[in-house]
Amino acid sequence: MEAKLNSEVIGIISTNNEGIIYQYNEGAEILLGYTASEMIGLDKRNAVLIKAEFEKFENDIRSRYNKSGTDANPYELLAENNGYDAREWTVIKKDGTTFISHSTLTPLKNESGENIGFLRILQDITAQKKTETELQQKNQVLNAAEKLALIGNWQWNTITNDVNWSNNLYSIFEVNPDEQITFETYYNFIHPDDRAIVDANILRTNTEKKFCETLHRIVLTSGKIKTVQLIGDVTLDDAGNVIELIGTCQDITAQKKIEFDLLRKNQLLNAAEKITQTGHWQWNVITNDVIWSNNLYNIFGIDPNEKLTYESYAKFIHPDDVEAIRLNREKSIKDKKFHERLHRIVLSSGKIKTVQILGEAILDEAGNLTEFIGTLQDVTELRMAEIKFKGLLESAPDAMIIINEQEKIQLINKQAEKLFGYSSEELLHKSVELLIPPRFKAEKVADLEILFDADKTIEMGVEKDVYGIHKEGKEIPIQINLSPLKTEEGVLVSAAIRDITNQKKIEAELKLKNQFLNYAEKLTLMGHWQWNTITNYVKWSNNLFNVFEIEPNENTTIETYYNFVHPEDKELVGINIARTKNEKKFCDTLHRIKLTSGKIKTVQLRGDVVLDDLGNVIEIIGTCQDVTEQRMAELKFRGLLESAPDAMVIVNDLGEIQLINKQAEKLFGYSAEELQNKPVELLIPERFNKHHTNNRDAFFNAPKTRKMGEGKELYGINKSGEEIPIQISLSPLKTEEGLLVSAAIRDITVQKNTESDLLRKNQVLNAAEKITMTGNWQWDYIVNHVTWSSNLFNIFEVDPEENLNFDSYFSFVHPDDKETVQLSFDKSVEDKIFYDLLHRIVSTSGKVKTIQLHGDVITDTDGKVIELIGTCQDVTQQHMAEKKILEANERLELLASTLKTRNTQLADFAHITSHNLRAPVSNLNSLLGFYNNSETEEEKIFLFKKFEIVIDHLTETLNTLIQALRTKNEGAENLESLTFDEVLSKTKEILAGQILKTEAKIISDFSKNVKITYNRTYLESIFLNLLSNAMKYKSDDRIPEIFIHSEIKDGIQKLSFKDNGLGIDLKRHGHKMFGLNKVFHRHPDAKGVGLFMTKVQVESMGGTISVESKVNVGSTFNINFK
Amino acid sequence: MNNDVNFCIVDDDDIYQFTIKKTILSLNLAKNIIAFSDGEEALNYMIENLNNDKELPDVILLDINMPIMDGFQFMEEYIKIQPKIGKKITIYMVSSSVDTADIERAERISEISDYIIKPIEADKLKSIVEELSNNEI
Repeated sequence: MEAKLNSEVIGIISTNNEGIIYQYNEGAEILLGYTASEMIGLDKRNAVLIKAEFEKFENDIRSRYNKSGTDANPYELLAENNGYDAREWTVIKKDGTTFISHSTLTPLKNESGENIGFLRILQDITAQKKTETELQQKNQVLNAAEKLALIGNWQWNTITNDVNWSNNLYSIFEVNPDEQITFETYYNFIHPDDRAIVDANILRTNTEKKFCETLHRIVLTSGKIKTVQLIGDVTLDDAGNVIELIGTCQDITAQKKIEFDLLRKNQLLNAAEKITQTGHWQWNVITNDVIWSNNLYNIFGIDPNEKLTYESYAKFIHPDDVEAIRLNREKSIKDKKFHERLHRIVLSSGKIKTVQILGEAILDEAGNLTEFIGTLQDVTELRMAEIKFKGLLESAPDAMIIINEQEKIQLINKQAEKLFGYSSEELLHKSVELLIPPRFKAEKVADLEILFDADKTIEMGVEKDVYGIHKEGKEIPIQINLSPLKTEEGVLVSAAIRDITNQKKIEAELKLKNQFLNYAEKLTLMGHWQWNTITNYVKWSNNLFNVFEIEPNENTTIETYYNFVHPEDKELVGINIARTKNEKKFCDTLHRIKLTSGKIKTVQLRGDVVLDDLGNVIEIIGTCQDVTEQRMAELKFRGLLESAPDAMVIVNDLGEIQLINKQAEKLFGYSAEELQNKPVELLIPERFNKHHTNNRDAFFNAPKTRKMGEGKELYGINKSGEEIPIQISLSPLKTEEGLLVSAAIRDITVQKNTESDLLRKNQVLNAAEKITMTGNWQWDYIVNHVTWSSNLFNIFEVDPEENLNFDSYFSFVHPDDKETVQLSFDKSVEDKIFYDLLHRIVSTSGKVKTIQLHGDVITDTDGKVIELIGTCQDVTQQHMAEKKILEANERLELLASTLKTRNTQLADFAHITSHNLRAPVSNLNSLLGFYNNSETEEEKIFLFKKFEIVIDHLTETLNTLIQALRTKNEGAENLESLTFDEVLSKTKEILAGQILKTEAKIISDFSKNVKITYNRTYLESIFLNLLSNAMKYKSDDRIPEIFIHSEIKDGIQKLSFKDNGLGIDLKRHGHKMFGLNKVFHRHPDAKGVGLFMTKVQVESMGGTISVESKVNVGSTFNINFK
Repeated sequence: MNNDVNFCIVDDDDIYQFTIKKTILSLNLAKNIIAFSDGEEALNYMIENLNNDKELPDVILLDINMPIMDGFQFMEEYIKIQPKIGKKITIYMVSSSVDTADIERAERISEISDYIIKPIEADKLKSIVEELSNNEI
């Protein structure tokens, strides 16, 4: 208190230059303890001041004014320099105590400026000093603290720009503590990027007169960057100007870094939370304080500054979820365990969100619940998707179970709950094995592995039976469709499970029925099919595949079927399909199919069309029956029927006609269609009808083969009402359709007529009585067994009991015909066509008979001959007659040809007489007329000469004719063997003159046929005529070249003469080439006799002669000797 | 009696040519007689004198049986050139052939007026010329 009090007291003491006090105030009295009277007029410096301090003062002043030594008076120095000295003096009080004063010594000047003394002002600063020391001590502590806290302090005198730094600040700035610091020293350290901030803050500090806290970086001399925080205060003068700034500077680099890291992490967290719509929370159960992360505020849409309690959260809970959450809370607290929550919240905006809350309970050491911490996630969108998915799942008609890779059930739908009898809760996170009967577990594991590996949808239970197991242990047949689901949680498998109990049941029934159907189909060789005309898919029954002899497969379309249709039947099938579609009514079709093996089958298609509401054909269903064998049998039967020489009518027990053959159609004049199912009485004259019906009934009662009408006359009636005498054989035929009667009917009209004729003429009675013997036969080619009808036994005169084969028959064949018969049968078998055969047999009795075989070759589906069937008729009589006629015919033909030759000759002769004989005769007549009327002898002589010419000509012609006629009659006489060479050389001798004259070259080649047996004269004449002609009609431009060539071709001896002469226009003259007196050239020697005679000669020997010629190229005469 | 008729004889028989010419001349039936011994010669003459009416014959007595080109062959060729001939020519087939085949064949050719069997009587020649002048009136 005293110190304080004194510090406000100021002592003022004035001295003259010698240090004598002349003024001493009250303050000084208080401070020093001396009274004014005790001090005035005295120099008391030594008494009050400490010598050491006085010496220091003297030295300080001297050094201030650069005075070395002790000579200079410090007071005088101060006075001279108008200086002053302010310093602390330890002042000794009157009572001997000391105090520390702050003393200022100032020289006093008079008005002329002379130094007149000094003024000393004293102030007790002991208290201050004490504080200062304390401060200093504290400062030392502070420095240590500063060092630890990396804080320094500073002072900045804004007027002097002096800056004081605390020691630590030097350390922070890494500056030598001796260095004089100014503002600039500091400013230079500021990080260039932060200078703007610092400038702005200094400016603000100056204007606002309040220190602006500043955080900035500094760059040290070492290049190190630190972050410093400046906190400070301003000192103002009286005018309010800032004169000083003081403050601290803290190196917060490390702190800043941590802070930064934290910030970054926080930011990251926030970002993460934002992204995942997640926030975290802490709920102190005891204080009910709640802390949220930023994002939670976002999620709830509330102000981040709001103070939170559990209720802050609870009030958002959706009304419908409140109760559940309340229970959850109670349970969580009770269990000391946070129970997961998923519930909806209603935000103030009215928006509903779904949040999922996970948490953990924090217990104290005593195990008491203190806190829950956890996360909250806005799963609204997720939930929406899930709900959608769930909806989808629930709406699925099948039971759906989703499992993860660990085979834990993740999700099941209502249907699955129903199917397996478990609730959803009971199954969640349980192994799926719970639902699989133990016996299937191994398989299931394999399947799942495949699925997880293959990553594709697989279906189970399609090919084999799969079972699930109900909660109650009952097995359920199911079909499972497994699909992989790739999710963030890994691959899940969604299993669509269908309870196929019913289906199985139906299937089993169907299977049973199918089996029956299959048996039935197998038995009837029938298959069925369904043709979806829209998709073109055709479903075949198993047996249909069997019928078509292909492996059952799924991909059957109408083309599959159509491809099998026999090429010749494709058109028919195509037409029928089209018709079926058009008429919307199935056209039953019978056609052949050709199997892959080449086998040909006959199938019967029956069906029905299925229409949609619009009446369009959408499906065609039906059956397909393999009727090959049936058809074969039918064909065989038909073949037999048709090959029968008799009309055949097959009648059922009602007397309705079932089948007739061609012969029957012909006999009765009806077509098969017209008679189908008509009463057989239609074919019987009315007068026999009643009688017949009775007979027929009798026959059906005791059926056996018998002949009708034996001993009496039977008649049929044809379409045009004519009665026909017939003979009928009846045979019963046992068939599936009941008993049928086959009637073989023979028209005996001709026989009857002949018979009556013969009777009337009384000729060949016995022959007429006999029926034309016909029988039928079957030869089983495979086992070589032959079956004959009874008539055949009669024809061959064999005991009907005898067992027959082909050799039995062949042994009867006439020795001369055996080869023919064998060949014919071989060929029939080879070609699979029966070649009708007429041959002789020698019957048991040795009789030679001629039989006529008609027949048919039956092949199996592979085209192999299995049977030959046919008829055999004894045509001996017929054949004999035929033979006679044939012989007569042959004779007639011979006669005719002879006559023809004669006729031709006659015609030739007529021609010759009219042309060659009449002309000279008429000339003679004319001349004779002139001669008679001639008046002069000269005229008569002239005419007579003309007579001579005509008569010569006539004589010549007659000679030629006689020669020709003789030739014709004598042709074949006087034959001898002649060589062509010899004849040629003789001819050359005769024509030597001509050959010489024409220089003709005659070349001959008789190497291929050297000689011929012929009439010498003729052959020489032929050579002479043809050779001389060749020279006579030579071309003027060429030397004649004649080539004579002989050969034998096709057994005929040939001779040709080829020349290079004038040639003949054959178009014009060909027809009269070899006529008598025909000439074609204006050659003086042309007489038209040579070729005529040549022809006559050649023909008389049975040969022919012809010519080939080209005008101006040459002619070739070809002779074909007989 | 009209005697400005041009006769044409086509026959390879010299004796016949001699007798017919003599008969025509003695009857004074012709202004001119030309004779050829085969169809080709006659045809060539016709072609040479297509537009020369004076030289063309009024009557042709055509034999059947001739070398090179016979009577029927001549007719075939004549029919081809007939449209180019400005003059009416009457053709008689004259032959010693009594073969009906020849006669019938000649009758089928409309350009042939008649078939005359040799020898030709004088009266026949006269009636031929008479018919010609009748047709001209």
